[in-house]
Amino acid sequence: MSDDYLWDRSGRPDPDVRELEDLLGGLRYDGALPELPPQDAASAGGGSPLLAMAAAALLTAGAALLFSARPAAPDTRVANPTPKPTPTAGWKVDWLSGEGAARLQVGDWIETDTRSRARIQVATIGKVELEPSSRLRLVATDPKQHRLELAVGKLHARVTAPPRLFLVDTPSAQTVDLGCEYTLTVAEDGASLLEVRLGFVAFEWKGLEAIVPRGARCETRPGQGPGIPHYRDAPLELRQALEVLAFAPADALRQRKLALLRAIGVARAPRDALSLWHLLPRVRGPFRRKAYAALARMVPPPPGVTAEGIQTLDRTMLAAWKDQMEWSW
Amino acid sequence: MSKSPEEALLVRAAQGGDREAFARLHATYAPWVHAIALARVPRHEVDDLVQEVLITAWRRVRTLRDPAAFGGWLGQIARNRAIDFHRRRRANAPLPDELATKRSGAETHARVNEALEAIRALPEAYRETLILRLVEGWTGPEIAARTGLTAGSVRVNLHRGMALLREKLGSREAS
Repeated sequence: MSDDYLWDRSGRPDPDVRELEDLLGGLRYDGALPELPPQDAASAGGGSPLLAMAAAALLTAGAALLFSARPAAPDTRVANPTPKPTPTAGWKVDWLSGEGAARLQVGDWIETDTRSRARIQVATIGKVELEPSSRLRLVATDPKQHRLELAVGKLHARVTAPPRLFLVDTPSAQTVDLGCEYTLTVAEDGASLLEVRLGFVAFEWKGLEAIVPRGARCETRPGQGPGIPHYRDAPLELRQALEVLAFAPADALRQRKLALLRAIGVARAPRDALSLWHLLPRVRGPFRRKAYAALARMVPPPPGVTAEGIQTLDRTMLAAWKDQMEWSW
Repeated sequence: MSKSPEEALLVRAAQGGDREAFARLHATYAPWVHAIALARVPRHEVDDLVQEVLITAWRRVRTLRDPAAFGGWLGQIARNRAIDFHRRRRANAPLPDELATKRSGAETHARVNEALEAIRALPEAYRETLILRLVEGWTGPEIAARTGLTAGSVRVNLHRGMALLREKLGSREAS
């Protein structure tokens, strides 16, 4: 069916679209303008830093990106009483919309509007591309660690460095580079999605870890940390079951049991062993026994790894089993 | 973005304190603010968020240097306020049931909430566009004209978003 009706209501009406229009039309905005208080004086930079950034991002004619030290104008860098000389004087930023180049220093935010993109040189170890509608801050850069904060939006990272040298904080977890290329998207509610193209990336939050290999993805949610990694082409039924097991309340026993049975039933060796392995610390008691049994059928545990040990999440046994199956991830 | 000279005049007038001019801008852009809020925060918080955004925009409109950027500026305020809402909300705080629509005599809460939840679960690029089309009743060309997106982008967002929405709502019915 043509999408003309969806586009501008021309042509033959699409029954699904009509049904949704009828269903959701009752939510349409019909509010009145609130009583308006006195206006603020015309001074740029006053008020909330978020609003200052939002306003400033659209003030600069033609340039879609904004640098701002928090929360006032870039002049605070100049006013810094103890400036630290660096060989590169900040990370180089190229505006892919053709606006030129700039430098990103520790503490600076970079914000793209709906049309702009930026490429950021990550010290000497790689590059990050920042998509439209994103906000990113340089938290730290030194020989031991290069760290960004992605508040919202999407970035693509390609890093060649020792593991754990490059990190990205999001509202719901920390991304730890293990030598790779990946895309990280942060939604405005703080939830994130990590998709790995090369190598491995770890998501970490309060002791909960998810290892995400090439071709796999993992979500995180604020207050709950990382979900269960799975391959991008995993069956929808498996993905839905893993979402329940990662994020449903612990006391939703029936829902979680059904999800576990569905995940075990749909998972296929060897790749889905990735998901079942990550499931082990997320479930308890009989659920963990079932998950162990399913995983053991896929990837027989090496000598020294026992069902009883896995039931207690013995670290040595978990590591040994992971070493055995990781090659296939 | 605001492309018409008439709209730029309205923005300038609003910057001069003209409440009537701002009311006309409200009539054009408030549905967009509403759609941004509906795509991001619980239904029972939407109206308050929209009011907050409108009041903030009125108070700060004098800081806007380019009247043609009014629409995008307003949209950015709305998105930032939605971010602030989620940061203030305690993690895992239970949400009350979504409110009924004005036509709850005709439609059930569950069907409306299911459809809205399915739209909110879509990729961000599709959510706002679909809500503008299906809730606010804007056509694709109207969405492009008022949000600053190209017509091509809007059409792609609508098409792909609707395809995903059919899959989501279809798969729930099947299960």
